Amino acid sequence: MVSASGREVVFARIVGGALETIAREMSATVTRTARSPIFNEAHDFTTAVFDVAGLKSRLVAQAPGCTLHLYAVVAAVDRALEAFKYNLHPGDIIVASDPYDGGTHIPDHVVLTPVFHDRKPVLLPAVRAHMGDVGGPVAGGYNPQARDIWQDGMVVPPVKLYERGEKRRDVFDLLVANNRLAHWIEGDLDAMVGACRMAERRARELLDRYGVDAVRGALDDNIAYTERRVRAEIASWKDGAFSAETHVDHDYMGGNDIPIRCTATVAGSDLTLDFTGSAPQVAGFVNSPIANTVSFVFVAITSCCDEDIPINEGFINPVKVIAPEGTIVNPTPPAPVGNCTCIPGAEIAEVVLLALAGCAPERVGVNCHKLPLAYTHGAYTDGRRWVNLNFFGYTGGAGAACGTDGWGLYPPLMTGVILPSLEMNEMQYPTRVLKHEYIPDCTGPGRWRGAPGLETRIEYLSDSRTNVMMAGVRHPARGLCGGGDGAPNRIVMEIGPGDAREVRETAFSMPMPPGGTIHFRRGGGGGWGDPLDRPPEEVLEDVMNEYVTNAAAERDYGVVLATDGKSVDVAATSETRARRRAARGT
Amino acid sequence: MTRMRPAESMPQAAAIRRKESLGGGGWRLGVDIGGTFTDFALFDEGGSRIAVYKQLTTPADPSVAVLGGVSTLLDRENVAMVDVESIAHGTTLVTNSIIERRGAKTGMLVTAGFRDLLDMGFEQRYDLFDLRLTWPDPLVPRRLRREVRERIGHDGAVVESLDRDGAREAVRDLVDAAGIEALAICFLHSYANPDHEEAAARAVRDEFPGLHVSRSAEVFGNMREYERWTTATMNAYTQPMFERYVARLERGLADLEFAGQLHIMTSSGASITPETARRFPVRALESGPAAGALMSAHHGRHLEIPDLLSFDMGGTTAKGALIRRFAPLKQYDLEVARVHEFKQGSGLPVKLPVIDMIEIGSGGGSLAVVDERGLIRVGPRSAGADPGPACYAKGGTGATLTDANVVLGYLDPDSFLGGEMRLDAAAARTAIERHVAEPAGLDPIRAAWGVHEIANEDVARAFRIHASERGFDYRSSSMVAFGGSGPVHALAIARKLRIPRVVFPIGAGVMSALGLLVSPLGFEVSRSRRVFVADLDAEGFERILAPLIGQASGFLSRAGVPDPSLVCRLDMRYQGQGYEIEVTLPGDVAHGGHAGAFSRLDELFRAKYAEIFSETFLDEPLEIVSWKVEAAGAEAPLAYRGLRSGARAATKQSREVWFADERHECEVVDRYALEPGTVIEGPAVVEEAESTCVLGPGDRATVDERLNLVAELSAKGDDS
Repeated sequence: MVSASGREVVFARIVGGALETIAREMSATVTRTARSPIFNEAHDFTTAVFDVAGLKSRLVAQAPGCTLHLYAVVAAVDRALEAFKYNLHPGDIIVASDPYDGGTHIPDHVVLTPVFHDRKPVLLPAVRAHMGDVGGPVAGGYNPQARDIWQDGMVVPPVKLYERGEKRRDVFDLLVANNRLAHWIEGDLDAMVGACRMAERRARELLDRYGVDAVRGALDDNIAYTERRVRAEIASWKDGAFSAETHVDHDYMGGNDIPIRCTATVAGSDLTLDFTGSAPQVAGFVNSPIANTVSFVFVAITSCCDEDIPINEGFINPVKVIAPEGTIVNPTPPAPVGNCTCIPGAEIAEVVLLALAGCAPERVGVNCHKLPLAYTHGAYTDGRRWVNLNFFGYTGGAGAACGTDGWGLYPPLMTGVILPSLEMNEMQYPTRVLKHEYIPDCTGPGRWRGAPGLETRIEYLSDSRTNVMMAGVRHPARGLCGGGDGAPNRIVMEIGPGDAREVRETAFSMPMPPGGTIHFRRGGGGGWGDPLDRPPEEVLEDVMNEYVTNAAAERDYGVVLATDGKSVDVAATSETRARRRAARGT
Repeated sequence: MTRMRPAESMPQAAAIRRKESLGGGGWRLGVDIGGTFTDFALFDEGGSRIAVYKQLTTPADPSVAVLGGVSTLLDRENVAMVDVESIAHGTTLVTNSIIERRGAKTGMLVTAGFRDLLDMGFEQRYDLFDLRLTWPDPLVPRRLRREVRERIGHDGAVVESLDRDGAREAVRDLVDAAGIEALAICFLHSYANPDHEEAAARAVRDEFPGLHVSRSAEVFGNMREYERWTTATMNAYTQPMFERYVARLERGLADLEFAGQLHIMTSSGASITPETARRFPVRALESGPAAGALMSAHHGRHLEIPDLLSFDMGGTTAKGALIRRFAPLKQYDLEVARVHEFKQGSGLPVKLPVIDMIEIGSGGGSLAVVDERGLIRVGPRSAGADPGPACYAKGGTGATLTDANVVLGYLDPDSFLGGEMRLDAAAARTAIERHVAEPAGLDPIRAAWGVHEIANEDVARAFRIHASERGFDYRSSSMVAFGGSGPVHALAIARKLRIPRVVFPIGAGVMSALGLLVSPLGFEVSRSRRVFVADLDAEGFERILAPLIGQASGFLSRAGVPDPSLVCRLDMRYQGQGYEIEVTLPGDVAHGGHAGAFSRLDELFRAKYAEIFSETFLDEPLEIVSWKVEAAGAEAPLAYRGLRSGARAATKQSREVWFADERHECEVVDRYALEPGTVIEGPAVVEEAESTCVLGPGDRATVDERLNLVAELSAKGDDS
């Protein structure tokens, strides 16, 4: 009833939209059916659809989720296709988590299934999610004492969970047997499988309705469009080579101030990011497998482009990543990698933004957070164990962007994660949050300032043990384009009266009696642009709202307040700012 | 079988009804204030007659349009005000005052150490890659939030007693220095023990009797501080304004000699008394759309269709709700004042019982553009009602969905809004040519069809995601379509979703006003209190429920419903899980029907858990987190067989209509002239005053005894 010409009007949008809808339906399925809170509450997963031609896949649609998974899934799909190239059938469902074979850290499992049309795999829906446990020596998969990949957890190379539609009980049993959360892992895998199967049905209907050629043609159009937009963006940046360096605080094995370097070379609409000069791989679990490095690179680049550009393979084509083997950004086995999605993921994105600040200053912003992980565990009175992630201690700390002050914790790199209710948290765990409030003067000043720093005190009401992995202590969140750095993070364990111990690197299973408290001081985010350019009335507003003290207004911003404390002394401010600028020689 | 005739036979019918109504009143009136129109529906229980009316909203004082319209409609129908038993009222006033920031200057008392929770929110970015996100400012700015020493634990125990003097002093400063008119008192865990919030309120009231005080546990006593506190600030912020409005309205109605009961519609689909509404104005948020969904459910019951998609498409947006087993799906989250209207997470969260609705950025006024890829995009930008679509000839030049529908022949320029508004077909065509056809390299008909189809696809996609998030199988449900534009698009959207049947109720433009007529009086109270099921016996279970039952039924008995039905719902979960599953206790709590429920809690939870997750269960203790009791009066009966709108419909016998590239000379049917049992074969357009149903080739619709048009879709799949 509809002619071909009539169809073309809407076709590309409908196919692109249909695949995006499939990805979002997958996401809804996972949220609704998974077991563990990390899926349901924290939404620490991503769903995407790929198309397949031979052994090469292309990202064609994604659902908003946890961004750091998004690009990481790309390498995993190709690796799975390669592993089963002559042995892939309708109804097969594959799982994989090997950091050295397309993965990031072991807890992030990819589940995917091919969609066949005319006896060939054509489309491929995939879910990537953070599993609650992956075996290994430490519950949850974060083992700061890991010396090799096997001490991170159980590695899963691409294996089939389902073969031609049949569940492989043996594989499930193997995975469940190696997991501390047996009652969650199978349910969570089932949820991922269910999402893939639903997507497979929907995708097959789409192919049946429109045919492979028409669908692929529409996808080509969509990818070409994204690539055109990304290339136009890069072409608007200054040509040349721009280098930057940042540091990882420590590797928890004695290594400190570990450099990560990046040179961004812009040539027309091509961008090369070269990590040559970054530190050799380190002893501790802060090495970043190549898929993780590439993922953080693309998340940083995506955040520099317009948010309305559809995310697909078109983002990847204009950018080349060089990461020398044997370095912290492309380690060789068996280096441990357990913490890579936090550290050095944050520093990889940070150094990319710092480098791009040289050629596209107005595009870089909301620098990555550096997460001071501290989780506390103990037992209920009936003996069952609990683990509390102490989310409140990490709040705050996002950087500013050109045009906006920093807000909240999660920069684009880790969105999707939701701050839980503290009332709920106190109900779930024997804990009491005593304070959770912004504190003044902890944030990076700038034309736009970072998110305010925070003070959080968490008391434990029964015996507990806490693991801490500090970050952002020696190297806090960096400001961009002349903005100041955020304040360093601090964690002090107040074991008892007069016994306060600051954790500067790591604490392993530190015991606390009832009444012990953890005292977090979260440094604020980095600023963007010269603080002397911040309009005095905005500084005054921050003083009135008690984000900035009078003293800091003058010290950091050159803004002098009148004696009533409620207005700006315009003359003194102009004079102070002029003097500062002159002293700098700018 | 009697049936309402179209306009010409009305005087006689009205006279008959007038005679009947003299027998003892029995008239009920629904009044819904929308952004552009205020809608009225008048129903006579004795004669089962129904009449509707529309008039322009008066934004400066909405009660003007309400009172004016009531008089006009009663005069037109020759009904005396003394014969009106009740008026059910829905209004966007509360929502608008938050969006437009026209509420009172509001202060806040919070537990010491937690001044910034309103700013922190969920710490979630609603757009992953937008570096320049903004949020609505909290209704209470940081400098008007004061900290008070006090602390209550999650079990309700007092950890630190309330510093009353500190509270008083803080409020004194807020009143004297900042001039606040309203105050929200928000303490942690007040849902478990409201003593501190109540004591602080008493201390403040003694000194400042004129201050409007809202307590977070009283507004809605649920755990989760951010949403509870935000809800309480909204209540405080809107209270002075809403109180003045209700007073004006009551006075105005009294002047018109109204002696019946005024009821205010809430977002949950139930109505409350003016007294309750003055205390909890936040409950009146978004009540208009809720009334529309309620009416869909009513039609479902009448037609014995349990599962429905309620689809309402108006001038700027489309709204959807899901009806399962004859009742609209409800939830306890709502967002107000979004920075980006269609981005979830960009607004202020409200925790209250609400009908679960989605809003889609596709409406008659949605602007169509061609992007740099040469692809058509429709909305979410909208020309709204002013200047409106190009065909309104009120200065709008952009191409809108309505313009496309005019070009395709779906809308008749001469009979739009019952002929009250003439559309400029040439302007519609010019707009489509300039903004869509030329940039996309298409002829105008194809361009218009593309715009129409893209809008259909957008709505279908939004429904798919909404339904799958709720585990709702839309393919085996039916659709109820209404709103000015809904009936134009419904069948095409249903086809994409493979929904086999679409119901077009008569009165598509006034469904919310009609829905108000079926809204029962009702009130739901909630209290979070965590209890392990294993630690509970039947007596303890009753002890927790009893005060909630008393509270909920108290609201109803004060509203004149002495014996309401009571439904109890529990939010339950395995310990350690961060999400709860709502379990409804079987049986009517009021009549002891739930007596056996306690012993079956485990079974009830497992059944619900299996429905959502799987048949395997965790080896963890089961706990109840929140307790909810809803008291409701009976749903008001609404048995009617026709509808009088005072407007005329079709002016032509047939016209040229396009379906994709096919031109059809299409029959134009006057909706008001249809007899029950009539069958209409597509292609056809069926016109009523405010809307037009479009039947495609192969579609077939039957007129039922209520003059609903019930369409069965042709067996073609989704062939867009």
